[in-house]
Amino acid sequence: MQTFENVIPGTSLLDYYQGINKSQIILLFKGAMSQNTLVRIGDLIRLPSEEVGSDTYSKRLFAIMVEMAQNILFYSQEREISPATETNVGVGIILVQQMPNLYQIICGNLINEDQRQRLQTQCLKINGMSQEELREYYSQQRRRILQEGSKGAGLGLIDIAKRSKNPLVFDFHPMNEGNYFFTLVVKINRDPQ
Amino acid sequence: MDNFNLASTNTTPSVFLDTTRGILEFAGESYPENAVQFYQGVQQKLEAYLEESRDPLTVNFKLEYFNTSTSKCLLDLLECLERSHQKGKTITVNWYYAEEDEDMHDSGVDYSLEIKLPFNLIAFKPKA
Repeated sequence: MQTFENVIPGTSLLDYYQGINKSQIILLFKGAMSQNTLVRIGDLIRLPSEEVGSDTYSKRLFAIMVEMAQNILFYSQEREISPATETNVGVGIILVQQMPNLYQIICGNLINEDQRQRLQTQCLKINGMSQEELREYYSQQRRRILQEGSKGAGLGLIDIAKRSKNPLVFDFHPMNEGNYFFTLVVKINRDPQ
Repeated sequence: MDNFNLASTNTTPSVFLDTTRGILEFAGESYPENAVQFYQGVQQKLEAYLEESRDPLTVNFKLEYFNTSTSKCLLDLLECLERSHQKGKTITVNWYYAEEDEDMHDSGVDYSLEIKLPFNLIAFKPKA
């Protein structure tokens, strides 16, 4: 019987399947993150409130996913032309893990040295803040940011931390040509509020 | 000035400006790829209306979700309303939120603290 040993180098499809199972991954996407793709993935993560406990909770997961996906779309250094819209979109990975007491959303994409420095500073700053301070910081940044020059408002990470109510877990793995693979792990506790 | 009416899409809210009744309303979700482009279009219509009308205006926000770039655009829009209010126009903002939606409630509170406009936070029971 064929075992599909070569589907994924170094592993069989069955190993891969079991690995995903064991890691409690309920959704995984790797590829070009166009706005359309983002909307579709978003629909998959709009879990019914009876499943996640509350509508607010379901909305939080969705909101965090949107900010992560738009970060990939706008800022990933790995770019592709989306065949559907003929626009230049970022490539990355996003996955959702459903654990007994929490959901974990993880995203990753390629960034450059300049982005690494800004992300590291921003993540550390955010992790040093209380919920109240985050709220104030968000408002302050929103006032400061000029629309020009940035497609996003540069508020994404603050919003993610505000909604998740957990510290951001992040990593920068060195890659070729001075780039890094940026990983962001966001936990959302199941316990409401 | 004519009424202005935009139907909602996947990622943009419905927007209508009823010039007869003096109502501007946003409803739905907002997370477009280019929020600035979308809201600049709306703001241009609004500014033109504020220029020519002296009637009171009620602005209803009935948004279920909006992303961070929309959040900046809404602030710009509210600042535009605030300027008009300072020049003497009667403007009231009604910010609707589902009663259990703490995040949407807090967003309204934060805008109300930043913008000097009559600002009502209105809880509603979500449809079952």
